[in-house]
Amino acid sequence: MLRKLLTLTFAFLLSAGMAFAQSSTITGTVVDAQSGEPLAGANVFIQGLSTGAATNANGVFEIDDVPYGTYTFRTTFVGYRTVNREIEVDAAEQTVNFELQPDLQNLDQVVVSGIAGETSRAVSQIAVSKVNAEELQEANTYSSVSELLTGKAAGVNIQPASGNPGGGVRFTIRSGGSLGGNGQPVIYIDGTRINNAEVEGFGVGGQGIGVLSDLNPNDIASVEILKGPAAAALYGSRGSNGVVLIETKSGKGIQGGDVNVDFRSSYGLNTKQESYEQINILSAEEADSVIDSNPFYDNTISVSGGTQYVRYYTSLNQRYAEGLGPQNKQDRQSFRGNFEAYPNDQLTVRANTSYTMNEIQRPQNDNNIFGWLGNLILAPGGNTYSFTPRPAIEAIEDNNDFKRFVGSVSATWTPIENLNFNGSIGYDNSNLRQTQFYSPNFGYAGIINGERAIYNRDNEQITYDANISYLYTPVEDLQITSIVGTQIFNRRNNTSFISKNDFASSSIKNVGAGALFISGDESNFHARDAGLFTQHDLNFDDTYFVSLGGRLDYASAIGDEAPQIFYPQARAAVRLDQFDFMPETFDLFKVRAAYGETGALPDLLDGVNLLYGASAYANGRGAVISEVGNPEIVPERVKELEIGLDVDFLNNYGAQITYYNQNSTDAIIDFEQAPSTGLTFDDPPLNVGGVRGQGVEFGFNGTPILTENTQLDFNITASYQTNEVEDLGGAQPIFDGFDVNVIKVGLPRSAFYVTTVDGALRDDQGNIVTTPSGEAPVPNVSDERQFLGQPYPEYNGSFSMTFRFLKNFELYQLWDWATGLSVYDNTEIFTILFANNSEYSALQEAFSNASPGTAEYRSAADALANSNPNYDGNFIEDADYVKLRELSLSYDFSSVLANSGLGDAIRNLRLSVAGRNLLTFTEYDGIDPEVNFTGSRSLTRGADFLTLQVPRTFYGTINIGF
Amino acid sequence: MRIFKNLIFTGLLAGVLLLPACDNFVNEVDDPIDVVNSQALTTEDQVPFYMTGVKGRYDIFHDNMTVIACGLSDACVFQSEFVSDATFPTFQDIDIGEITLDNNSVDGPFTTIGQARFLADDFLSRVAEIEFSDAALKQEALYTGNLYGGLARYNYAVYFGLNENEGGGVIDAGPFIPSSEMFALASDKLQAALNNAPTEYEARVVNSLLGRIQLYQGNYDAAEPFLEAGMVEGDAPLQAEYSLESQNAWAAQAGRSRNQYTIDERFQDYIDENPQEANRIPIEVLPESELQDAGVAAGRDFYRQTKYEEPSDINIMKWQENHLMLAEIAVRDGNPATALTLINEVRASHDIDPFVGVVTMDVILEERDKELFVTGERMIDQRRTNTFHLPEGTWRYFPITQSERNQNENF
Repeated sequence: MLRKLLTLTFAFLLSAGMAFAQSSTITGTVVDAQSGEPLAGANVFIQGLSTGAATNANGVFEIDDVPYGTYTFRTTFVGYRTVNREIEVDAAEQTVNFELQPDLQNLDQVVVSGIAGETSRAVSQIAVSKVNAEELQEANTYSSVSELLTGKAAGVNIQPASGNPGGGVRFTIRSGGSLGGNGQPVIYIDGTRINNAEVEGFGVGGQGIGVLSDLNPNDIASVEILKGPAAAALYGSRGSNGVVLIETKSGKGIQGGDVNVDFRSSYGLNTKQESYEQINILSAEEADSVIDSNPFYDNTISVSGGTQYVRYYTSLNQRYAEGLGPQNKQDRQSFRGNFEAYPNDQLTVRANTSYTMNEIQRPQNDNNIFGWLGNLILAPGGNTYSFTPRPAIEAIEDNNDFKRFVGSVSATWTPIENLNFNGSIGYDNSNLRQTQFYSPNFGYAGIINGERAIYNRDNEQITYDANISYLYTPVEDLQITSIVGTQIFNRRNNTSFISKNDFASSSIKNVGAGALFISGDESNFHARDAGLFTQHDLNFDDTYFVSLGGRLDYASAIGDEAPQIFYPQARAAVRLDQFDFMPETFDLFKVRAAYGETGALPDLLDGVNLLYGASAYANGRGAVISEVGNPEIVPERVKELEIGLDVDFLNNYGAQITYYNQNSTDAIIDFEQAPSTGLTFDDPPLNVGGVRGQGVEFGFNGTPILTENTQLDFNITASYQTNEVEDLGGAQPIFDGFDVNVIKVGLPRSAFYVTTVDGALRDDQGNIVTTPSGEAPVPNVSDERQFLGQPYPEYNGSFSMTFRFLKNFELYQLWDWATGLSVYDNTEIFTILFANNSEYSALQEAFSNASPGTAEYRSAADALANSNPNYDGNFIEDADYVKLRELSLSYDFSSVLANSGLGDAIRNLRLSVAGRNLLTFTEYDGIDPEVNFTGSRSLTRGADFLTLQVPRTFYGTINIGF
Repeated sequence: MRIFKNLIFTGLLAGVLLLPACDNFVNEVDDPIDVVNSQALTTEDQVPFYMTGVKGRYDIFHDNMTVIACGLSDACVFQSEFVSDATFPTFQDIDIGEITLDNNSVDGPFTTIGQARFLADDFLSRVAEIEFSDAALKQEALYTGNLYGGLARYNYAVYFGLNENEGGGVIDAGPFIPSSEMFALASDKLQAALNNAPTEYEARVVNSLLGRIQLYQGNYDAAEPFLEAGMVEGDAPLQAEYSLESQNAWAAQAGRSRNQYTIDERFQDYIDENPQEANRIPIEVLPESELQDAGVAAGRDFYRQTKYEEPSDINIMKWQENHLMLAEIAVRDGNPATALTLINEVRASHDIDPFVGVVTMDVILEERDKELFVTGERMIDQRRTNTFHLPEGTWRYFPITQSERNQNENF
């Protein structure tokens, strides 16, 4: 083997040496075929010589020392169709020019085909969802990755839990993948698997902080979403709910080494989407005045560039945002440095690093007597602050100080053509220090003379990747790429906290100044996963594409054998457009099918029957059960089959349709035990479940208008998804803490399943039955619980349109919609219970004023019974919506500057005004159908309970590049 | 092709070598510091640690149970229209006896009583496995496990029920066990505790508990011998204990820290009649700052208990209760003179002047109302003497919860 390599290397050197005899210098330009404008940073590569060059700012390239001969020149540029042209080099100086067609349908865009492979949409056997973040952020400013992705990909639904900046976010991808776990996709940034937890620490009523908010979206170049096991099998366990692959920006390699300096600044306002008048409360005016608009700004400066040997992108971002109402802030600073170097033809090394300081202050809200909304909305007769006086709430401090490093280094070594060794190490370290302070100057229920609480969390995770890929051509027209590799993941998470009461001064807040110890504890968690995988992609004649692969996964388990599981993957696609019988109209006509399996391995402590800890009792530290496990537990397996069709036609239009079927078996569910067993300290995991999901995703995009001055692009996505719990192993349904959401055979997961009220109860004579006092009708309650909907959409989709007009103006809009989802309006229940609901008071009055036996009396009784706050079923509402999610208008001064002669000094200038969540059309009676009062990870879903609405934002942005 | 073959071979070889390596690698992780496996606790030296946990878990149940028991009785009142801190709808439902199965203020104690029962039984099964070198420790362990196993079963019998009027509980997701059978199970456990009582004092405590079980079932003759052997004047009470780390729920739910349940006005009347009663009925007027405007306008006073401030313990059994039970039996036996002596010994222990007059059942009930103020006994007294203040059809027990009914196929 070694000898073979040496021989090859020698032959290569020899042939290089021989070239000096007769060689050529090739120069040329690369331009946009439609506008004729030069393309800076395009790559021209001579296949077989492993040499090439990038174009400079004028679109000019030069390649020296090209031996005479015939070569295939491959010219690529992001956003353009790749051109392969055979050219005979036979002169000492030779000029070759290239014209690239815009790749409006992203046919040649690089997408991920597996854990270590990449391909293009033209040959992919799976549905591709890639979001071009760089382009979107020219006119729009996003506070987070989740905002950036909302409404962009079919089958991906993203719900924020509240309007807190940095708050938790829940992804629902396709029909939901695995039944166990938290249902969230695994997220990679430049190859680093990052933590996507929601951290609550000492609570503020329900909302935690999504650690994804540490990431500056401005640095993101693109995001790709692998939506299920068919696409993500090689990502192994934890990939069952999809994989989100985030790639950050890199410098453009331009001959001459231009340095690009870009400055971007947004300034805007977070305002309410809905006034509290909407919910018919007497205290609406005061609620509106407190939960009021606040400003935000977001500034980024980046320096990027490159030469033949190195590319770099560095950035500094600061975002300051005040959310709605008081005590609701985020102040984030982040730095990034991305470098790529090409020391020789065989080696590429990369480093992507970022550091973020993210300070978040959360308001008290949700299920909380110190909450702003609790005190403003649960106001008997409109009298606010009945639980806690306003100055006392204002005196509560909640400061969350995140420090986070995410970075990776990687190298690709190509010792011989088509053979790549890839290695990378990614590191994500997130450190949180949270402090809370309740002033001793005020009385707080459950707190004695003030409280100081400190929570520390240190999360460290390392991803190691190593793989070898080789592309070879065993027979003519058949190209095979084979990959073998390993992926290792190591995670440590340590937390500690302490709280004390009884402070003498509101200014001296150190925990030592508190006289009463209240609580303190620590925890450590250490787990590892390891996987071995292989994948083989066969490409026959650029027409038939087959891929086979699999992954063997291992995970840590305390006190037990490490669980292991094998996940297979098989895919195929055929490009019918390559056949003569297909009309030329089709640029792409590809049918595809893919099958894959992923799963979920049991958690670290799941396999041990009982684990005991210590609890602090008044009589001393006593044993208590801490973990209830299950020695019989086996990994959950999720299988997915998807079939689809990708069609591009008339060069300007593309359509995709995909059907998928997901089937999860042996789902691991933490199963609440009957309280009488006493094993309720922790819910033991059981392989109780099976859930089947299926759906259809549709996408249609196009560019119907394309002239020099005008361009219209549109993109439509729509998806239908359904799931049904098929098996709980004979076990009883699993309810959330509020007994509203259920996991039950025959229903979608987390379905709303409650008793319902059908008007007032009648006696045998048909008379309305009233309570003993006669003040209220007795509701006619269903004997059994009924299915009243699900907290996530059955159908959803989006429509976006970018219209460039008068050459430099651009109008962008994104609408998204969802139907078949419901929300549990617990806020309304409590406005009634607290006598602050004018609508309900009117019903009561109508009932008490009507004479028994009359039609008015009966109808008032029915209406009152149907609003009876003791029955949750009365408050599960349809929450279908259509939102104007994003709207922006921008003007690009670049061509004006170029004509004015300032073009040399200012590369580009763009001004835009934009908004988010501008319009909502919904049947939901509450404030915002997109929130959940227990954050984004609980079994409770779609529950609105004094939760802060997501804001509507207005802002202006300037982009200037030198 | 050759290089391809070599590569495949190298890859497969590496794969085969890596397989066992992965297995080991993923299990080389730090052990958690906050948990131990079950076997580690089945040793003699861990017995005191587990024993503390058995009592501790029971105590966590006892405070929450007595708060809602007071709420369902006529001693505690929920008055959200006047009292700012009275906000839990679940507490309101309990106050009026219209308790839904998913009332989460009932869920809490119903869950912890199951845990306490499990730990007590689990502890005893470990004790049976351990070969003790310290006989006294074994005796204490058997006493403690049986005492709290017995108390758990007693609490199911007196506080929980299948429906409004049918008391009883559930053990280990089994079928419903009516109160009469649950009392018998509790008695068996307590009898075992009695057999292992470390000292005479513990024996007297258990006898009082056994006597109470009979009394509450109306078996006065059966109760008497236990009570005769029960606690005597000067005995320290058996208590559920609380600290700042493990707080007494009374302070946070019906006390100075937060007041949801106020105390019925009659307790102030008792004090107005005889100010010495304040010695055993510690209450205070709710400050105006904790009242809604409407409450102030009404010109009324509202009261809260001050017996439990942080940290303070709750009596599970005390000699005064034993005295009052004996007094009740004396009255029922037609022996009011004996009852009078007993009552007055109890009163004297609080520096309250002797009762003058004939002791009737009404007197006994009033003395119990005062003496057992905010200990959760009142709703049991009201139920067993048919003096419940709520209309028919309301709950006299706390429902076996929806969470039990959801997970237990016997329901």
